[in-house]
Amino acid sequence: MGLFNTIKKLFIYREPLQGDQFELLEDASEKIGSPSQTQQTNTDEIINQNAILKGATDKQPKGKKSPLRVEEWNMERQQDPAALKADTTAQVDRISKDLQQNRLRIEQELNIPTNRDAKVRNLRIGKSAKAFIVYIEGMADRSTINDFILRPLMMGDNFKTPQEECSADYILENILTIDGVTKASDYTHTISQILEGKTALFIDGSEFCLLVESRGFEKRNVDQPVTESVISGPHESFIEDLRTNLTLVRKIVKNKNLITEILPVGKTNNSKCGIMYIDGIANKKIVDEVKRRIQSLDIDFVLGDGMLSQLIEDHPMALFPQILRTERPDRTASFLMEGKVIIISDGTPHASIVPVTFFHMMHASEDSFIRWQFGTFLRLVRYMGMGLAMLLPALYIALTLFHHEMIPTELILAIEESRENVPFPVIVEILLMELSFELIREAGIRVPDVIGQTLGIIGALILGQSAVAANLVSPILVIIVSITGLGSFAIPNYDLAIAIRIIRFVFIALAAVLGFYGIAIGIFIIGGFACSMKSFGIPYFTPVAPRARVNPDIVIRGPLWKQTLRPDSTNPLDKTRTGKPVRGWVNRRQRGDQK
Amino acid sequence: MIEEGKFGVQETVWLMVSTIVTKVFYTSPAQVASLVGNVSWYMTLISTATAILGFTFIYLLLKRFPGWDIATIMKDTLGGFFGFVFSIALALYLLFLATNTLSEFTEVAKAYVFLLTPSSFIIGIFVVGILVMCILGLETQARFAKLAAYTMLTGFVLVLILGTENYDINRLFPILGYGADKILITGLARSSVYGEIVILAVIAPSLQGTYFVKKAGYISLILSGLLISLSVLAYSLSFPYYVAQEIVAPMYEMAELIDYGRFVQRVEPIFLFIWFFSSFISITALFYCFVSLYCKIFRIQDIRPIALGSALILFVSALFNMDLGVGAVQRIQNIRQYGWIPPFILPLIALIVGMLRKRGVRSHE
Repeated sequence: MGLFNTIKKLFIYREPLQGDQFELLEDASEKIGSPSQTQQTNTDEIINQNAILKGATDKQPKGKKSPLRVEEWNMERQQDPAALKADTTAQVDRISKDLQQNRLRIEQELNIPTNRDAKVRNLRIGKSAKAFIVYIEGMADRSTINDFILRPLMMGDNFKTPQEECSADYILENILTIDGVTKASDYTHTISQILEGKTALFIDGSEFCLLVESRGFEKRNVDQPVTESVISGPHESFIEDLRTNLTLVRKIVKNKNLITEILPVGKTNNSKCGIMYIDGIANKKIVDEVKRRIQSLDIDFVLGDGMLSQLIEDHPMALFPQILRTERPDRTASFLMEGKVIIISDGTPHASIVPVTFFHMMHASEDSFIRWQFGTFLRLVRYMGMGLAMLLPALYIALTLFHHEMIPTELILAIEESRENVPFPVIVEILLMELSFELIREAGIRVPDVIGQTLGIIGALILGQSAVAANLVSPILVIIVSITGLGSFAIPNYDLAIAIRIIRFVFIALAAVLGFYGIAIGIFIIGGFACSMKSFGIPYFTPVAPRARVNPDIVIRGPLWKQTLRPDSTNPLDKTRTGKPVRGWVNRRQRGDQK
Repeated sequence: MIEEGKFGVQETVWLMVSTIVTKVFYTSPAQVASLVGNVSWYMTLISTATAILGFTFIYLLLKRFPGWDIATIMKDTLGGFFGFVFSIALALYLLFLATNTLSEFTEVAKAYVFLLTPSSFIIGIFVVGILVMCILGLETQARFAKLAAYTMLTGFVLVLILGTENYDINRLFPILGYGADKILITGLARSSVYGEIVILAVIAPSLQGTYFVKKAGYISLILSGLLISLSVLAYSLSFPYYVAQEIVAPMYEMAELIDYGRFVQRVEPIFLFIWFFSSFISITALFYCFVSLYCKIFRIQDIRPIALGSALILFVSALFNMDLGVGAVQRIQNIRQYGWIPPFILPLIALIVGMLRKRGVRSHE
């Protein structure tokens, strides 16, 4: 039936879906040059809003509808089932004054005693008032609970007149010697906080509980980056803990306008993600769009930014990544300064950056830490690597099958001589080698470190000596595949590198069928798809196509003192990042000055 | 209304330049050499000037109707029936150009590179590419043209520079070729080489305003004129005019003659990429504008089904070409001779009628 429907869809016309695609267009309010102007605009907005509110208030007495009496209002409410249901739900969710009832509810919610991780501990506060604490073992720090919650509460010396001073407010203000204590009056919030590692204190007679900060689960220490290691620059990378990652960024950007918003993702695993941006630089439309996309997600399980990125990217069917992932806090911070929005999820050691362009994917953190000439050189090497990784095997096939005339005579003789004993056509030969290489690469990630060297030896033998000795492949092909592999390793973005690896096979097939013409048509179609892509409203090849005002930092990494602007494509609220002159110590003589 | 997106002057300029300049890779330079001898390099500048004049009429027409496309303008100025006739004539002209360029491409490719590959296969692959780009939209095409422009321009300049070893300045003389009158008449008639500029009237709503149409149009024409002139100049310097008349793909031949040492020789396959990209962009733009104009004339909101049907027509009509001789000598020559009428005269008539009937929209620019 599914196949029938698919075939039917091929022949039946359907109107295109009118999706609400987000586009970041410039409007009058975004032509703002400095934060002071931004503040002015904000003030104006507030004044306008006040004026509107005032207008609304002024108009109120003129309204024809007279205010309802309380009885009438109650009757209307009773007639509205949704409101009634909401009322009932709120009542059921409210924490009771009865300690026993609270305990039963907590046990029911946390599946106690089936769930052995959830712990409930009864106690008497100041040897008189009944209470209990709830926490998740492993998520909460046991020493914090013992030393800063149980001990002060249970020591009678802290309460002079225990009967009167066992109220939750008194305990909050006088007894608990711990930072981060909040009140909660509903079960939903309380449960979610307990699951995050906080300890809830329920006291008899109190209609709210105290949530005490006691998170103390195991986490990895901040370590060196694995996939984005550098020679110059910081050697810190993100870890799996959201709070630590947010702190690592804040440690670099010590700015009062750095905003962190926490949003829930994943209905069942109750995960969280943090959105970071600099207020006054980042475009509010992008921030709102990021929040809109994340808040609209209705999925049970999201673990980290890899999954989250797939759910919020513009073109999920495209090969090219539209969200940049980095494990480096310093790189994340530099993107923040450009007006980008950062998404850091709980559970993976990466930050996602939006919006980004293709050219961002080819930049590395190190570019900014070394002199601009070196940075430019390294970038050119990377672009060359990408070109080789994508096209070299295809070009080899096209040259040997269709365009022999281009190969100099000595070289073609050498190639033919080396291929003389190989029984396969070039396409089979190259696919054999490329697939072996991909296999070794994939296996290399999975194998334990102790046998990693063995894999290297096997790889070298299969790809090199043995394959040539067995006349399965020609020696020149080993060189081609090796250079291709090196080229793909030079691509700094892992997602883009995988995309290039896949595209390479498309080009191999096209070159085998139509030589350079096939490669050209492949570039035309794949390039067309890439050109049609957007990352959070920004065209993928900005600032080249379409052109946008930008620093000399696309392919050539210009000197730092020439990078005076923030990228225009993201419409940042503050477009300039430097003063004039950047290097105040350089005394430039103006034209016309006396010598 | 069809959503065609918005793009800037640079993208438009490169889209137009690629569309116009692609002719230098085919038989046109040889035809010009047979008409005016060794002076085609400056004859084309006369054509450029004529085309600029022709584009001025298009611009003046668009200026009266800012933000409108040519089909809507013609309907408004000439009335329902004549507007329809003029618009459909323009649409067919674009399809005709696309078809001829595609068949010319195929024949030249077969003559030089794919000797044994069937034409239907070459055309079929090409049409698939065009169709994909057409569905992706005009904005995508413009962006791709801008991106590819860097590669194409680099390759183009490299071929011209590397070809210097074969240049002979004496081949430019006599400086008046077959005579001044011939140069002038041929120059005026061959303004059709730049007739693709009428595309701007189809895609005008995608630009940010009439001022940008004007800017893009004039820059495109001047740049195209310079590039074509440079190319033909290099060609005239490389081959004597009596040899030049016989060459089917002059730029390809020039690339073939490049020979520096033992390794830098026979680099024409690299040059193939420039030729292919330019042809892809050119034919896609012409074809898309035909489909877009057709949809606008008949008020069709979705371009996809029309693009699919039209692609089939393009495929079949490109196959009609019997051989290179018939294609080059008859059809291409006729297009170059009379091809200036649809792009320049039809908008001029609409402009005059519009002025007489006092039609137009108040501009806010």
